[in-house]
Amino acid sequence: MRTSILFFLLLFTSAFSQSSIGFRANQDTSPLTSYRLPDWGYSILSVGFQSYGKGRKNDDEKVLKYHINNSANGRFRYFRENDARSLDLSSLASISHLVSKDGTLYDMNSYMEYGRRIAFDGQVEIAFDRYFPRRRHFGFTFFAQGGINKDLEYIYPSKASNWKWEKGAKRNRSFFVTSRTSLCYGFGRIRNVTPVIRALRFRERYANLGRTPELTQSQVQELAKLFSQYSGYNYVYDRSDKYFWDAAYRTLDIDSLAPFHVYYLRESFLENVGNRFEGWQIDVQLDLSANHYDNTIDGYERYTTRKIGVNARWYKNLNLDHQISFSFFPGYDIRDIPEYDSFTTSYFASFSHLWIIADRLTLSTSAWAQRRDYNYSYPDDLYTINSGRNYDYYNSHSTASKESKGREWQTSLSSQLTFFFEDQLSFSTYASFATRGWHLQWRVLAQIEYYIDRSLH
Amino acid sequence: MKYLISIFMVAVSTLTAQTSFGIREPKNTANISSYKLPSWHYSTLAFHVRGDAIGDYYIKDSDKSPHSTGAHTFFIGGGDFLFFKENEQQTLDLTIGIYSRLLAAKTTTRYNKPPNTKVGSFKDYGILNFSSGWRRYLRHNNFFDFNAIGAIQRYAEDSKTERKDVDVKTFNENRNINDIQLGIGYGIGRLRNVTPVIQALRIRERLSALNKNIELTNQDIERLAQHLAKVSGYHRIFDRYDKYFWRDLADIANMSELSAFEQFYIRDALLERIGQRYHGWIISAGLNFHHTRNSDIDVHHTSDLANDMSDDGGHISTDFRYTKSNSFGPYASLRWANNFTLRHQLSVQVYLSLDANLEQENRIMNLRDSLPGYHPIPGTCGGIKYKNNNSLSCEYLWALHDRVLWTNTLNAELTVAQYSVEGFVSKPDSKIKPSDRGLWQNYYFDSSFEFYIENDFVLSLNFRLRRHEEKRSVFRCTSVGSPDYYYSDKYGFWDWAYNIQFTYYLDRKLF
Repeated sequence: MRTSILFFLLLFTSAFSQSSIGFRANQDTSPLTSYRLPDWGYSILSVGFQSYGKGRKNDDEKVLKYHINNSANGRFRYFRENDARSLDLSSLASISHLVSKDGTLYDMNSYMEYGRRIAFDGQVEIAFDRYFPRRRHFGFTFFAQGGINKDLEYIYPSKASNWKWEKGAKRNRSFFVTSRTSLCYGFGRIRNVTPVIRALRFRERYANLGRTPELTQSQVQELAKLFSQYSGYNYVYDRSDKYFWDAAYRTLDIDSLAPFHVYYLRESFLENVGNRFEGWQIDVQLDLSANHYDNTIDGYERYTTRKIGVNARWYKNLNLDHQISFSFFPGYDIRDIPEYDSFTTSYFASFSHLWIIADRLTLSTSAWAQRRDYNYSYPDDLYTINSGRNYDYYNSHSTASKESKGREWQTSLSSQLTFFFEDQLSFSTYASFATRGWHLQWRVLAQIEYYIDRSLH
Repeated sequence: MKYLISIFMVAVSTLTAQTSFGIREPKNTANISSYKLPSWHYSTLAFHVRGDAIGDYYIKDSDKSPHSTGAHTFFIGGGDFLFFKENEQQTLDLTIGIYSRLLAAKTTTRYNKPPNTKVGSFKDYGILNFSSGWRRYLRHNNFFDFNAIGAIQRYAEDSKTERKDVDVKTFNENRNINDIQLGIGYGIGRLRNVTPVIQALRIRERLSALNKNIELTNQDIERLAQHLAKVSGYHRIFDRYDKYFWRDLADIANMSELSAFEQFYIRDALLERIGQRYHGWIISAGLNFHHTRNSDIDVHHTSDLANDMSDDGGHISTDFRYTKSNSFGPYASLRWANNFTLRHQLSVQVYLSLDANLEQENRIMNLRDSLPGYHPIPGTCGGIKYKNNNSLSCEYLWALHDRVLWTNTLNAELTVAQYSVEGFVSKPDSKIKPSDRGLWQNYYFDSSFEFYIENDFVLSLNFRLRRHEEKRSVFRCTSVGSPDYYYSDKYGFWDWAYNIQFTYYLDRKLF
């Protein structure tokens, strides 16, 4: 036992004793508050074709069974972002053709089924954010956000199935449209400052290599702006590292580096720094979604959902190692589904705390509570509804009724600790406790991976 | 169509326009034939523990919401040891893992009425896995091989399921698994993995394309290839191995100070599609031994509470499965691979083996309180006296580095088995005359083609055609009083599969 305590103390002290770990000036959060998004973007236009097929002919059957699927698509994506606005547009158009022949001729139940299907699919998704920093009301930045998502699929099977004993094939055409529109208006500003934390970690690693002069605050800001474009580099280049890090070192006016330094500095992207945000926002959001489904056998069906809610979120990095956040979402939800309608009012509140000693220790704790007041309507004979929402609702035959009203409380408290000592030790533990009505759930998990010996000669 | 042809022509014309792919002297294979393995080794000794406990309770029962409540805990702990050593005289690869597992659970299920309460646990007292391979060169190109693979497991499970005022069921299982394969052989020749040599040559090409005045000599190429051959060791030893691997590589390749673009451009040489490359030949022969002994005892006990029969000991049923076999036999193998140029590789692999079953025991017994004594359970039984496996594989590979990789493989597999038919009668109404011999034939052709232009274009084509024929005998053990019988069955088929994927980026830019 004494040995274990000594071992842990040794590990814990080493967490602070290494200069490559953590931040030297961790109280200075000015790089987070002064960070502004860069003006950048990317566009991708591609065409593609896929075909796959398989076939089999058994010796005792005179039939070749096969399945062939051909599809062609065109994709376009345009992304543009700066501190005042962002636009993300993605679209897809595809056509696919499937032919198949399958079945068995072994026994009395022998059958052979032919299939042929043509499907057209089109998707458009647009998301935009607009901030009005100059139109300040009560000193706050106003913003508007919106999004449209349209998905259209048309399936035309010229022969759905042709059973051996059935003359004439049924044709089933179907048409499916999914539409979601979201509008949001509010004030305040939250920025993702994870790139700034990574840039600061880069600076720490750079200093730890003994390289001078140290990176300035403005260089850290420039680096953070580049780091925020990392996903764009991955979209645009197959092997993005050479372009991304070339841009990073050009930002810092560094011509050349030893390979160890290049890869050591690149590890600032491998460190677990969490998802870091800074600022607050309060907004009112309206979501409208509708699914239309029409086919020649089942007929026309429509599902709609309307949701209005207020979102309030606040993130604060107390210093570079600690982040706390609060959120509060009251909302009203109406779902209009054939034979099943619901009205739900919900109140959601959460708190979380993140403590990170970069690349060594991460402790994240979160707690949330939600109250839902619901009112369902459904037919008598409905046994089980798996609604596909955030819950499964069971109801037995004997107690089914046409309406169900109620109130439900959900709460959750969870915490995760990870301790990482490169090449030697990885320790993580997780504990959670959750309630939902009268239902309690808890979990405790711990795992250790310790290398007693690891050597290369 | 005209547009597509134009795109393809542009793509193909770039095939020869860039200096960053291909090798200047593709016919010069001197680096491959002179390559010697590095002398190196690594070892790891690791300890792993994982514990997990989950609980699920309803404070207040509700008939409206049938549910399951309970808790379970799971623990696994153990360690593993890896040792790898390689040089021109020997290759030794040893892996040993020892683990223990424990699970304990209590669950009350309320879906049924009355509710079930189940309390149970399983224990893996120990799982030992080991594998080792040792090739030791004696003189010139003579070597002997030794390899061993094995697993030993001891497992126990207990559970008790109680339906209030209805019945209590208990279940106990004890399972032992012992499986050991040993092989010893002697051979001549050498076959080396020369993929690192190709990668080293590609690094030279990329350094040359950077115009950094870094020229690697043939000695540098060999040292570089020997370093690249150790990449799996770096992977095992370091969590973030890149910095150590490229630090050591830079010393060999004299690339201590390069820009970030240049360093990652060089690293891309290891991402290129070049296939697995071998050079040389080996002929070896030896003996294989395989020992298996598995036993599994399941005991089911039911006490009928509803009819107040709990005092009479209830009903007991015991299933007993026991398998034991020892097989032994010679094998012979031939492997040959030749890189005619740096772009073309042809390889052939032949493997022949004969396994004779020295001892074979396969028992499935059942003990019930209603019938005295153990009874064989009807089902599949019987065994194979000896089995002859033969396989031939030929592969042709064409690689235009970082641009085209085309591989074609032809495989033929033939297995002949002689069954032990003593004590069995042939099934009288069989469509096919029952035979004491089985025959399996499998022939397939695989082709894979990939055409790649970085950031612009990817085309991949895969195709497989297969012919399979099988004739085998099925043995059935019956209940007491009926004769055990066997019959022959045969079938065959052709099958094929293909996959084509093509993506062309008309526009892809960052601004």
